Amino acid sequence: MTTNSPTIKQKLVFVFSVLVSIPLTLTGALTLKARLSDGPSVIFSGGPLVSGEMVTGPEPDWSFVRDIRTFELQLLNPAKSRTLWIVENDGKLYLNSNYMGGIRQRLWKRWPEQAEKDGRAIMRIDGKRYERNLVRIKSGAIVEEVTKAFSDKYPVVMTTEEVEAEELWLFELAPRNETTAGESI
Amino acid sequence: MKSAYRKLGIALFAIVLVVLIVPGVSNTIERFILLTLAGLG
Repeated sequence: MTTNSPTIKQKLVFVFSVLVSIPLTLTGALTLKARLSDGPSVIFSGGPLVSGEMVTGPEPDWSFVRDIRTFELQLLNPAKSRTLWIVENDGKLYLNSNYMGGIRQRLWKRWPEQAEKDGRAIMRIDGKRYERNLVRIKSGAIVEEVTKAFSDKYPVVMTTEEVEAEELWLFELAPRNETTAGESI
Repeated sequence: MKSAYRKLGIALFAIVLVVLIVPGVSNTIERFILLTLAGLG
């Protein structure tokens, strides 16, 4: 009677399969779980923002955002959400996207370009949802004000030079107005 | 080896089910990943 005991090569291939397949499966499962969720997870982008009162009407006083560290943003196209930083400046809201310098970064983080093409979005702050239009800010005095606001609020240094070099993208979270969707300033 | 690969397949399927179904598991794993990355960085 003979037994087919595995060779060392077969054992190594199996160990390699385990080491590769478990992290891949875990990542896939976590990604899927986030996509099926109402909002983003800690790491992965999530599905559409569904829960929370949809606030309409006149613009609220956004000064309370100074005490908010992060908020959730969902583009309408594609309907995926992520967690981002936010600042308020002169009654308007702004968000940022860092590390936009290279092709690799842009492939990794595609939502800013998607937002530039179609700025329609929904944001959720403190459990309430607001319809917004993302308008990219590229130049003007506002760039200096917004980068300073981010640098004051968060443990980073943002500069106008980074914006000019397109390494740092800034967007205004403007009220929803179909004529301004995807505009740049 | 066939049996070992079958067990691996079952284990992977179980991982997917647990992550998708059991509340809090995905958050815990993600926080662990973040802490690990922060530790490495």
